Formats: sequence, C-alpha cells, structure tokens
Amino acid sequence: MKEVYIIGNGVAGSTLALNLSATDSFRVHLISDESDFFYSRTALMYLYMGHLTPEQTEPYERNHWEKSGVNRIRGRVFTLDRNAKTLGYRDVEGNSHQKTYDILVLAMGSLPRFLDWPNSTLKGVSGLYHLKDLKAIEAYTEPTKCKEAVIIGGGLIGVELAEMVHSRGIQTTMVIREPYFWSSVLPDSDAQLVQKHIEAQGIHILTETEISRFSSEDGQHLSGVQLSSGKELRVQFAGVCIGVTPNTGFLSESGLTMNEGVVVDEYLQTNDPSIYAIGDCAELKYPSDERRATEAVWYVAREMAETLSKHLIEGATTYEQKHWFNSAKFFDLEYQTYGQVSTSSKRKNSEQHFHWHSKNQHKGITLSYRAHDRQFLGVNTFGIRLKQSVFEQWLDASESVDTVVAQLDRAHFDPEFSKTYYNDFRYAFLSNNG
Amino acid sequence: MYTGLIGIAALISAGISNTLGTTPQLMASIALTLIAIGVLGYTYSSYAAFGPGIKNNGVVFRSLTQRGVWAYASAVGLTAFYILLYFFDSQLEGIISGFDPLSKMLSGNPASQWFVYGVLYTLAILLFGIKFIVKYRHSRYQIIRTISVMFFQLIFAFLLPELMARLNGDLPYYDLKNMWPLNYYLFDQYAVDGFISAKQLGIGLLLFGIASIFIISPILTYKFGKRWYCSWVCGCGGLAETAGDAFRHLSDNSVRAWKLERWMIHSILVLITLSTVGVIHSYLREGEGNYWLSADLFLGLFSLVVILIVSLIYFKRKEWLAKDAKRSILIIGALIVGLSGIHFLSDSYHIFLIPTYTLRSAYGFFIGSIFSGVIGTGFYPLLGNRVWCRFGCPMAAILGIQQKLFSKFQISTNSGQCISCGNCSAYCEMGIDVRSYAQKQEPIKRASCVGCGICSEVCPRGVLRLENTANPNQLS
Repeated sequence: MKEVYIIGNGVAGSTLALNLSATDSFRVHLISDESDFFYSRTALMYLYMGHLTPEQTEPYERNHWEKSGVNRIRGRVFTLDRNAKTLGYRDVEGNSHQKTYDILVLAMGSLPRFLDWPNSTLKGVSGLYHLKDLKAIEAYTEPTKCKEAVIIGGGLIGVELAEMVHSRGIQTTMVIREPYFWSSVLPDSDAQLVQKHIEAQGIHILTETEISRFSSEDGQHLSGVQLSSGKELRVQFAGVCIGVTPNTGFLSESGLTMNEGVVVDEYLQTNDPSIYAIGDCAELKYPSDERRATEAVWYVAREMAETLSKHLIEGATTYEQKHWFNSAKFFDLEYQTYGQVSTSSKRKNSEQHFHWHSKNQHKGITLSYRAHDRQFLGVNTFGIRLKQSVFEQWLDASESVDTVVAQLDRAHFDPEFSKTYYNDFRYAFLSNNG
Repeated sequence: MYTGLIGIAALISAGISNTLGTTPQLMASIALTLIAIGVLGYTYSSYAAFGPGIKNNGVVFRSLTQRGVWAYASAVGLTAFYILLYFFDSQLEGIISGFDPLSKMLSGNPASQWFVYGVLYTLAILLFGIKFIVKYRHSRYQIIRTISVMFFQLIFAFLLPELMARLNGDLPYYDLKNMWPLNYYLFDQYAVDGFISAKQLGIGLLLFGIASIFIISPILTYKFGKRWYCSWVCGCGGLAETAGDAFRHLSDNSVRAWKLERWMIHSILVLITLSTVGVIHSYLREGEGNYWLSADLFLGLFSLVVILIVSLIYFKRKEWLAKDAKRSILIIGALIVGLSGIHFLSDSYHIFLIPTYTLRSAYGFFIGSIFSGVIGTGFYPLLGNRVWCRFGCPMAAILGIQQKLFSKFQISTNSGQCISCGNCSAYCEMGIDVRSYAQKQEPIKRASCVGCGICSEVCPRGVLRLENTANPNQLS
C-alpha cells in the first residue's frame, strides 16, 4: 500500500482520490483547508443566488466518501521536506502534524489575482474563488450596506460576480481594460454580442478603463474606486476578477521547479519523481502550440486527474492537450467553444473567421478556418447548443469548413422543438463565400 | 400572492356565507376571481417583469420553498382540505352549493364535492400552467408540454366526463386518458356493468381502457419514453408540473431514497394488480354465465400474459437482468405466487383468505386517497411535487419498467461539458441524481424519469438533451 497525500480537494484532487482509492494499491489522504467535502467551485454563484443549498453543490453524496475509504483531512499544509518525504499540516484546532508520503500530489488550485492597488485590503474588496471569498462577499453586499458595486475585470468570474450582486438589486458597474467584454479571449464580433447581452440585463460596462486605487471614508470600509480616467466611482463593494494565479504559497523553499505554477512534465510529474501537480496550480513544461501552459479550467483539472489516475494505476500515461473546449453562461446567454478561435488582436491572416448572428443577437455562431486550404479550426456558439463529439470528429479529420457548414445539423443539441438557425447560418455563409 | 390568499379566504367564507347574508354562488365567483388575479399577479411580478431565462433566485432562501413556516402552514392547509373533502364533505355543503350553477350548466346535475375538487384542480393546472409557461418561455419544449397538460386536464379530465354524463347517465365517470392501474376502479363490477349496459359506446370505452394499458402505452413509451404520459397527459403529473413546480427541488435525491422508491412503487404495483385480478375473478365467478368471460378462463389468460412478459424479459434481457433487475424478478414472482394463491386459496370472495373487497377498499383508502391525495399533493411543500408519482403510482411503475426495458428515450450528455454544479440533480422532481451520470459522461436512462426536461433547462452549460433516438438495447 502506497501512502498518497493529495493537497486540495477540488475537482482535480477529489477525482484523483476517488479513482486511486477504488484500487487496493493506495492509501489515499486528501487534505483540504477549505471544506470537509468536495464541492463544485463553479456552483459558488448558485449558492449566493439561492438556487442551491451547500450540500447540493457537492458532486458526490457524503455516504460515497465514507464508503470510498479516502481519508479526508481538514487542515492547512505549511511545510514540505522532500528529502525525508514528509509534509506538515496544521489542523482546525491549530495542532501540527507530520506525515510521511510515498506519493505527493499538489492540487491546490488558484488564488484571485490582485495588482498593487493602494488600499486593496479594505473591507468591501474581494475576489471570488474560495468559500471564504463567498462568505466575505455575502457580508460586504448585505443590501442595507451595499447599493453600488464595481466588478474589476471582464472574464468568466467577473460576469458571474456581476450577475450575483445584481441579483440582490445592487447597481453594478464592470470596469474592463479591453475594448469589449472578454475580447482577450473572444473575437470582437463575439465580444460585442456578449457585451450587448450583459448591458441589456442592466449592468453598466466601462471599457478600456482600469482602476488606480480603492478609497475609504472611514479608513476601514470601501467607499469608492478611482478610475484611470481620473473619475471616482462610488461603491461599497469591489469584486476583483482580473484572473487567477496558481496557489503555490508554501512551496517557495521546497526546491521544486516553479515558474508561474509548479512545472510538470508530460506525466504531470515535477522535478521530484514522487511529487506530481495537477489542476490550476500545474504548469506544463511542454504545452501544445494552440494551448497555454497553465489553464485554470474545471475540465482541464478533471482531465489531468483522470490522466494521473491512469498513470499511477496502470503505469506510463502521458497528459496530452487535446482539442480545446470550454463553455460558460453570461447571464442568460450560453456559450460553447470547440477548437481554436483566436481573438481579433491575436488572429493572424492565415486564420479566417465567419461570424453570424440572429437579428436580435440572441444567437450567434463564429467559425474559424485556415485561409489557404479552408481547414476547419474551431467554433464559438452563443445561445445554441452543439454536440462536442461531432466537432471533435471534424477536428480530428481536419475537415473543411465547407463540410462543417453543410453538415452543421449533425451537431444539433438544442432541446426538442427549439427553433433552429442552421439554414440562416448556411445562407449567410454561402452568400459571403460565393 | 396576497390576493390569492384573500381568494382562498373568500372560498372558505363561501361555506359560511349564509351567516354573512350573501349567496354562496357570489362568494364562490369572487373567490375564484381573486385566486386567479393572485396567481397571475405573482406570475407578472416574479417572471414576466424580467427577461426570459432560468430565474431561480432565492429559491432556497424562501420560507415557502425551503421547508420554512409557510411551507408547513401550506402543507397543513392542503392536508386539511383533503381530509374535509374525503371524509367530512358535509362540512363543505356551503362551498359545494356555490358551484351548482356551473355544474348544472355542464352535466345538468347539482355540484358534488368531487365536482368542486375538479373545478379547483383544473383551475390550479390552468393558472399555474400559465405561470409555468411564462417562467420557462425561453423553451418551446416547456411551452408545448404545458399546453398539453392544460388541454388534457380541461378537456379530458374535466369537461368530457361531465358532458358524457349528460349524454348517457349509465356511463361511469371515465376520464379517457386515465388508465388502469391509475384508475384502479376501471374494472370494478359497477364500472364494467355500467360500460356493458351503455351498449356500443360503453363496450367501446371498456375495450379502449384495456387497449390503453396493453397496446397503446407500450407503443408510445417505446417511441417517446414514459414522459408521453407522465409529463404531457397525466392529471397528477399535470398538477405536479404546474402548481408543484416551485417545490421540485425538495425531492430527495439520495441513493437511500432511490432504494425506498423502487421497493414502494413496485410493491404497490403488485398490490393493485393482485387486488384487481382478485376483484374481477370474484365477480366473474359469482356471476358465472352473466359475462362472456369465465373466471377460470380469465385467470388462465392473465397467467399466460404474465408468463409471456416474464419470458420475453428473461430471454431478451438476460445480461441486464443478471446485474440489475433482481427486483423485477421479485415482482413477477410475487405476481405468479399471488395468482396461484387466488386460484387455490380463494372462494369467490377471498384472496389469500383475505376478503377481496376488504383488500380493495383498503387499497382505495390508503393508496388511492391518503397517499395520492393527502401526501401526494398536500405535502408538496415538504417532500417535493412528485412524491406520489415517484413512490406510489402503479401506472408510473408499469411505464417505468417499459421505459427501462425497451424505450428509445434517454437523456444524452454532451461529452465532457459537465461542471458538476448540481442544478440538474437539485431541480429533478423525481429525485434522480442526474449529475452523477452527467459528470461520468453517461446517458441517463432511469425508470423513474418523467422527461419534464427541467434538468436540461437549468444546466448552465447545455450538457443535457432529451432524445428519442437511443438504441433501446443499450442500457446504462
């Protein structure tokens, strides 16, 4: 029996823990500072908005954990001795423990990124990542105290947080550095479509704006933010959503190779052969051309955990970045993406885009393809659900964009009786492409 | 919402209107109008005033929808109403007389307590149906499905039987869309005699009743899953979907509840099958010669059907049975034992030496009234809106077995897109842990799924799709 210690019970750590404990070869210990049971981080917004109870956000029944044999430990790891293969953690009561591991897996996730803004520790300023953040946000956005809020940054967490506070009747402004909402990821056509939808919900968006400082009237509580334009915005809550950074705090002295995150090879192994890193905190030494080295995404964390499970149980399995996919929901607008659709600023001339949207802009599709041979590269959809497996076939087969357009119905995944837009889309595409 | 409460108060006061010096008819009209204004006003302020899309904000914070004081108060109120309705209808005379004009217009008879119940039930489905449509107006599936349950309730369950009573007084009350075993009284002697004495129309209806369960339902379930009935046609399902929609997240989705569900629903199915067979057998034997079917022939035919079904399942689904379906074998075993029990142990009045009619009336009381009415509807705010459909309904049990064994229906998962947020499981009114399948990228093919489609609506990533295209031989 190998002693496996996993630090972090998010989707990466928990998936791995359950997989390993289903075999007889490992005794699995899962350490978390955050929660007794694995919960879905992506459901934090539904807790706040009252769609779900905390227990409903747990992907596995509590009984399931009891039966699994995973030893769940509530505590915070603060030290690592690689030579002695021991780690030290402090439990909830503050007592320290030393444990010896055969295999150590780092799955600590991320922390919200902050810049060096003056006064960013004021009460009323928070990111959204951890359960603690949610508690803080609950307190800061109490309706009697908070009437106006600002969300700094225009990404997926930013729009979630905007929806959250807006749902409690708080006037919400988003301050975005880019020219359009999320145009650091979406082509401008798509970014504008999403932005229009968000604004229609009553959210005020300030683009090409940054903040320079937080301010306070009583020295304790946030009362406003100063914008790069010099203007002052009166707010009682500021959500900081400019991205996340890998959570690697206690590793600084460990001698593990670190860059932005913990650097791992294709086996998800660090420079220490008994230590692995998966999920948000892992940084790939050899990322594929179209993908990034650190990808703080649920699906990536889960895929890494599945790969490492296989590697540890069956032997030599490499993590390969397959076709990129992701999905999100901006208020009521669903978004899915398969393959590669570059932003307007990063797009090279070799990558062609074709964008279509319905008249009311509630539905939209953007296809990307290679200019010289018309090979299909990727798709973004808005308000239309398409089947991932079909797109993966097309990407695997290096299918031409014309085939994809002709056969788009094959990927149909909208609910029965939904109005379909494939013919509108096809008509627009063909009239544009002669 | 408050207007609706006043409406209910007005309805109660219709009962004591004589003392107030007004007519019950006037009070009843005022009451129904106020209830309608209340529900529609709530619909406007909660949903129509906002854009289309899922709006479940605050569901788990509110007293009424998260088992708070208001939830208990409503459960007590509803339960009290059912108890009055079933056992103390004389107390309701005032209210009932308020509905006389409407009843006379439809069937020509004065109102009974069941007529009042029918009016209120239909009104609830229509008003909350409008609320449901507004709430889910972004989804055509939900709109069409809800119009369907509203239509079947209004026309088939409410208007047609009243009009049929006007045309032919001999016909028993027959809601065409209600099949045995949901209407367990369909094959009772008085009903069958009623059908037979009503000549062609009656015989036609009786044959339709038999065809519904043995021919029509398997074909439709094969094509569409049990949803064609449970969430498109059925009145109990209709009320659960519309008036019960606000409570769907209260259904327990633990594995323990699932186990309990399987035991309960299948036991009730066995019970109602045995008691129906027993009842038919005993009046056939008693009135030997009055019916073209003899008691022994009937039992023989029935046994044959059971053996046929068992062997079909056994030989067609061998590999699946080995793993999963011990319970199905158990049911069928119990049925066969029950059958032979009737044959050998019973004279005309007894099943297992228990008097047939005692068994039947016990079923009618405990299952038909207490379970389906009081607990099934009265406890919406505490146990969720599909308690009856999930734990009690023998019709759902039969359709569920059909769905599990040979249906093209399933909920497909869009590859690896699930983020395990839990909305699908939380809002599944049947307590299916949808997420546990979706996060493993497996399709959902569960006997209990009524295909309401709400999991697919609340999913923030568009992961789930109801489909009729599955290969029925592949079981999850």
